[in-house]
Amino acid sequence: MIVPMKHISLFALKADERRLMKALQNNGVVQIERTEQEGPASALEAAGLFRSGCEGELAEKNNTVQRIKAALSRLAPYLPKAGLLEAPPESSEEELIGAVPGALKIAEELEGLQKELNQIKNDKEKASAQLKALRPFGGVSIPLDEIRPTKTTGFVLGLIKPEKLSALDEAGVVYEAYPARGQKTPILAAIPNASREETLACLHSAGFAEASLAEYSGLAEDNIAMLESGTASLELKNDELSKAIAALGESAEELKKGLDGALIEQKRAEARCELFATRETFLLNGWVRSDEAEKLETIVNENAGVHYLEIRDPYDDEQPPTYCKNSKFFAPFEFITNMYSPPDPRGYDPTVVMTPFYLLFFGLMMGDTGYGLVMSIGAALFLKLKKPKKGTEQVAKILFWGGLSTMVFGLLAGTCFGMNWYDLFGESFPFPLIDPMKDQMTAIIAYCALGFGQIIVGMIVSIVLHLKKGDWQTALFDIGSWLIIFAGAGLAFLLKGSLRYIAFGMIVLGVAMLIGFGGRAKKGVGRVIGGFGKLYDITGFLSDVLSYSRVFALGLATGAMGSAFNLVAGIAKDMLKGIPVVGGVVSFIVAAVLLVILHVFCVAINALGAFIHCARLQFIEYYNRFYTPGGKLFSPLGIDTKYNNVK
Amino acid sequence: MKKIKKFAAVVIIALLALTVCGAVFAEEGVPTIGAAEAPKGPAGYVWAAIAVCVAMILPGIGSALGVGMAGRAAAGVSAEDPDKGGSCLVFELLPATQGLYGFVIAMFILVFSGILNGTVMQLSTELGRSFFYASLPIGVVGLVSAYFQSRVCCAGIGIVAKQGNGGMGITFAIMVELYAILALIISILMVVRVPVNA
Repeated sequence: MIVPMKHISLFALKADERRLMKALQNNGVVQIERTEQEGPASALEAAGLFRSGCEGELAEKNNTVQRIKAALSRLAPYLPKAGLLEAPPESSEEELIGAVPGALKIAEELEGLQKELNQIKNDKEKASAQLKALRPFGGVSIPLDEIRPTKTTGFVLGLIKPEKLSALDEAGVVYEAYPARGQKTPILAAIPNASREETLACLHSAGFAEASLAEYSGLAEDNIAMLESGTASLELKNDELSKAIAALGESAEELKKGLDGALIEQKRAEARCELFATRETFLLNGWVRSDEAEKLETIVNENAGVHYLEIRDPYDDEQPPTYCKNSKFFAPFEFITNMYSPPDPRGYDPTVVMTPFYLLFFGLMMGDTGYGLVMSIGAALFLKLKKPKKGTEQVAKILFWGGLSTMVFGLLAGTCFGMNWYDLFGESFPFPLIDPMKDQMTAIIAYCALGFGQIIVGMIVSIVLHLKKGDWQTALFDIGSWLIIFAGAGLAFLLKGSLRYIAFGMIVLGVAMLIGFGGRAKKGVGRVIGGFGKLYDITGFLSDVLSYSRVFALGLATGAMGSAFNLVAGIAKDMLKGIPVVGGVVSFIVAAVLLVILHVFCVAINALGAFIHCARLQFIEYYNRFYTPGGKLFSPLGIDTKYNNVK
Repeated sequence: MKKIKKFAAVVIIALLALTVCGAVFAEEGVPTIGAAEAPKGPAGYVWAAIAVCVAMILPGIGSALGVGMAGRAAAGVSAEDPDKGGSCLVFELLPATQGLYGFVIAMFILVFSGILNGTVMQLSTELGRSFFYASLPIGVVGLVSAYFQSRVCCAGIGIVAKQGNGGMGITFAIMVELYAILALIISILMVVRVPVNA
């Protein structure tokens, strides 16, 4: 059922703003709408009106959230792993917000450590590059800073392949060679200013590579030793810092709490940015559920001093958000409808008329009692232990009920863990009533008939909705005439003798209504053509009904896949039995493990298929008949946390 | 375009291979319908074996291609935002079903033709060939529909990246699957009605 919305406008003093927003957020009753400026900005400013100056605060809150998030993702490898079925801890809103400064401090500490770590990484890289350049010169026996040009001669230090030294000798280059620390020999070559070019050319043609070691003083060997010890101490410090960061992983709880607190504050700041303000007052526009309007009034009265609160019905040109309220059983199935589109706020919530069909076809598509049992138990455990919220909770509940339905329909038209009921309990066992394996056509026709039933229900709902709106013509001529035709066709099959003429009469009446009034929007020839055009809708009915044959295919596929997996496990067992001594045990264990893995996979993939195909049947074949989509979900300012459930 | 051409090439090669197989075995001679004793023996077995291959290989290729493509798109989106991994996974798994339908038909053929319980040598050439024809709907339609469904799924993953949940994208993708399901139904009906024991 769709709960009507009320529009609210609230003027209050800025002094009360924070307290009021906090109370609104904690109660989650108002969806705040951005208050749009009317008139040019300059005129508003002249009148002392401006957007509530909160952009700075919002930027700060965003920054906080980002920093804590970054800290958490940096610490991710060190965080204790949460159990798969462990419910999130519960905290109060105050506790979470109180944890923000602490979390920020940890984030800051982490940022500092990370910065140091990066510095060390840079230093290490620099040192290793220096070492790489210096190492070949370890044998050079003169201090590097003493290599200086004289008046007539310059000197270069560099590396050359030892076999090329003779070439230098032949060319008459003067040089001193030092012991090699690698494949090349370090040499110090003298370059007379007089024959500078020739000497250099000679050196280069011999493959001489000049080294630039001017930045170093003292012996190369001493420099190498110094850099090596420096690198070792950097390593030590690196380890220390890494350990310190890992130790911060223990404060994960605080960070998570802080993040949730920061998220709450961020949301509140975002909401404050939607307000409009003067120097002393602010204006809040938004939507509230009509059944919570009184609650809102109480909250405002308690938290705001002087104020003016206007609650009114939406105008015709306004598009309020949609909120559906259903009983505990039906509420999770709103998820299915919302997957398509939330209902129009002035339309009709189809959840209640959809759920029975959804469960019916879901059960038939899965069609395996064992799998239904597994799904229900799994979903129930997940709900009990993990305590999920929102969409996840709804899906788990749908799977729970879907599992129960699967158990029932698995008995009627299916299998149990891929095994036929006959195989389990003998031929005299009355189930399944329809065996899709043995009697395919009966099964297809039965499922299509069920689908046809759903379409008829959709048409009846449509008639009721049109009548409520006062549109009796559409109800009678466009939809009612089809019902008369279908009823006539059905009676023609059932009745015998002259009574059959009544049935034929109904068909003729229905067709006549369609041709006569189907095109009533147009005039003259167009009207008749329009009427005949309506007759063409019969193809739509046919394809919609045939679409339900997928129930047969998916139901059979589940059972067949299950039995194929049983077969595979059986073959594996037979093959392993041959192993001497341990064969019995090993084959049993392997078969058991295989069965569990394969059947879990089978449940998962078929549940996904059934979930989606079943939803599709509702969307296309059913909602098509009566549903008005296009709403936007009511999303009140509330508390939306990531790691903690709020008490 | 390049991808489509490549894909078309795969399909054509697969179909050519099938035709060649058919032609080779057609040379054994088609017994007249209604003959008192249809020839039995290895030819029937071979046809049934080809049928199993067609039912398993073609949709398997389609699903592997499809899941692969959708998987790459999904990995990209969840690298940006790991929270969207769940929604992406649904899209990735949708083209996986064709391969499973093919598997179901392959198992049906294994059981009904008697390959599994060893009575396949009783199978006449004609009936063996019936299994081959029965495997074609799911084989070819499974291959093609898995590929094109995957393209819709990739677009759907784009919706997830932009809006946080798949919404109607799942319904769009499911539309393609209808044809694989219809082919599955036809293949099932054909396989289970082959009059092996007649």
